[in-house]
Amino acid sequence: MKRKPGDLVPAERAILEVAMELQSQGLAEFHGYQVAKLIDSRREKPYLTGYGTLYRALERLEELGFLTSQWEETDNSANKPPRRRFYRLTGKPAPALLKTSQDIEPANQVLERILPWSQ
Amino acid sequence: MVAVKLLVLSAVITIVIGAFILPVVKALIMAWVRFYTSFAPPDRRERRRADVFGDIYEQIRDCLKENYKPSEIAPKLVIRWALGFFNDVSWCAPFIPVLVADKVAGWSDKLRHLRVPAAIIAGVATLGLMNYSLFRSPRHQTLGTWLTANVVIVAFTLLVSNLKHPVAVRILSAWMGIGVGVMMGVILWLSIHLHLYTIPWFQVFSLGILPVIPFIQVVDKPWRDDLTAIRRLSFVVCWGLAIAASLAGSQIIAGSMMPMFSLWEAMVLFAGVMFIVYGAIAFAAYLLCLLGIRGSAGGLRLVASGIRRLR
Repeated sequence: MKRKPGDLVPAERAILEVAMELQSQGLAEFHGYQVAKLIDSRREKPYLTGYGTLYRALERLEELGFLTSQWEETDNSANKPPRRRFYRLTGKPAPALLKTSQDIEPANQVLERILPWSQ
Repeated sequence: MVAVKLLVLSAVITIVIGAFILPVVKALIMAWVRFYTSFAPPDRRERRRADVFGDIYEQIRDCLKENYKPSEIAPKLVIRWALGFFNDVSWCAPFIPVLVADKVAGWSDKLRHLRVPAAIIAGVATLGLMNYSLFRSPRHQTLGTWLTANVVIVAFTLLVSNLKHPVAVRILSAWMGIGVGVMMGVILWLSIHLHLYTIPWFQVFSLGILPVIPFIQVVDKPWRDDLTAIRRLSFVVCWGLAIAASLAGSQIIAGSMMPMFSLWEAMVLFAGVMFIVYGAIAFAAYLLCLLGIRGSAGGLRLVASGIRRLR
């Protein structure tokens, strides 16, 4: 099934929420593992932290213009750790998040609409 | 005693797993990432690899900082790999057809260039093997078997190789000339032996065909070139004629089709064996040619780098 333009999948929404949280803590730039750790710590959707899921979502968010990224600058020492890619919010995510959260009708409201006697 | 042994064994296994599980798991995940990203274009490949490798490094460092044991970190890595597995596959899936098309184009290009040497090497080797085996077994030492087998291998080699090559065209022309000459010889022998020259229609046929043969082979070169250009049709015509003539000969000489069918059976068996031998040698020759080209390219690169260093 193709998704509509501007739609966000749960992994992308989770990343944007975490990114905004990090930004509010004064952390403008973040790398993949930081996002994965935060999502995991929330214990809501730990399945979104898979390598494939996470980095695919980050790529897609960058394509949609919600994030920008750049490689960290490292020295050329022999035992250097792998280079990390730092992501940064572009300032576009809030409307997208609002749109998706408004579009989704909470489950209890759906239940009330279908089964009015369930209250 | 058994309990003690089990205890020692489990302790050893625990120590070994504890020592090796993290590097092994890390290496396996990295190998998987290298594999599935190998289908992607270079920029996306490098980016995804760096992303995941950096993530693994950060996670291990973070977990070690939080006093996790290596045997506890490894399952965390495995879980994250497993959770993203289907996304890995769906991420790389669109790149696979492009890569396969590129590879096939590259290989068919290489195959086109190597077809002639591989076919000639295989042809020469199969001819050598076949002639050696024929001369080793007295049972098959007949001129007909020897000639047919050689002709089949030469024809097969020419079919497999690039027939537009001038050398191949020349060999094919020569083979056709020999074939026609042999057929003429057989007809002549049959006509003398069976007094066929006394039959009026045979006289007409012989008188008609005999002057045409040298004309085809020697004089009318453009016609001959046309014949080689429509090589597949000419093969069919030649073999059709040969089969018809052999059936007629079998009927005339033995009064039965059975000797010819027996010979065909042997020929089919021979062709099967020849196809396997030829195919195996052609494949090996092709690989050797390819390795030779790769080796030469590597050697040239080595020489070039040596020269650069000297400078």
